Amino acid sequence: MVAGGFGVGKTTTVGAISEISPLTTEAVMTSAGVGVDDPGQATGKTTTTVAMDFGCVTIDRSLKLYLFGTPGQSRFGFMWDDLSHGALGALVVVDSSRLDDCYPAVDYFERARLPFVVAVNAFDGKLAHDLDEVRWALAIDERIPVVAFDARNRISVRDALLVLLDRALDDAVRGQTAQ
Amino acid sequence: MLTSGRVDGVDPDIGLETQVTARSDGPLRTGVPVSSLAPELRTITALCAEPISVAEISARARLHLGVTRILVGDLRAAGYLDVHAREAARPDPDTILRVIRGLRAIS
Repeated sequence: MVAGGFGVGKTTTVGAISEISPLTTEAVMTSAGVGVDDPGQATGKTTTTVAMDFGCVTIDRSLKLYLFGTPGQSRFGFMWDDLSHGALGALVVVDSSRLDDCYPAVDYFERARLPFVVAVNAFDGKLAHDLDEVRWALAIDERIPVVAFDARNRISVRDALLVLLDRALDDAVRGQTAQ
Repeated sequence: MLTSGRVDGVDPDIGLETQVTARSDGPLRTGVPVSSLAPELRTITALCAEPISVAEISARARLHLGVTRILVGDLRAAGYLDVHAREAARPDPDTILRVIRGLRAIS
């Protein structure tokens, strides 16, 4: 999963590594005032269409890696539940000048115990805050990697994914020995 | 309405990444040839000639994801499609190692 706020570079990230140009699928979301409406008032249901971009990388003849870009706001949490089923992990893409946007995603993946990495997209090679500041501001556990990457660059995206996969491997191995 | 207004009851086996393939014996089993199906169902079946994910079907057929999942479930129940059920657990270490090796090969 590639999660993050609006305009943070999710589709760019997916497109940089995918062997197909990112495809878009749409899900209809029915929100009965999730967390925002006053429950005392009659809440009309509203439906919103959420677009999700995705791409894929063929690993070998019988294995394909899918990358799903998902919106980072907490009201899209229903999609994360669905996607995190069977997922290797999540790359939480962050714009260091808008850290608040990624907080719900970080919080969610922590609770869901899904391996994740915070990947700070260095727009034009620059970060508004250094990585330690990002970690501090988001109150991210020492064990969660925080990396800088360039969403437009295939090798940079690959390396960020490899950091995530290392985490996922650690978790999977630990899960096996615990059984 | 293709889905007869159904919005839930989606088969939990059918996730976004789930791979789907058309059964060559599909029409034989049901007696209804693919060419007699509704256009959307024909499109989905045609897309499944090679293994394809539910997300790709949705994008290429321009159907909403929820609708796609329902229709794929219907086509599976009717014997037109094989659904390679998702694994319940998280990926195992061997699978993750294969992905790591595959990604390292990207340059």
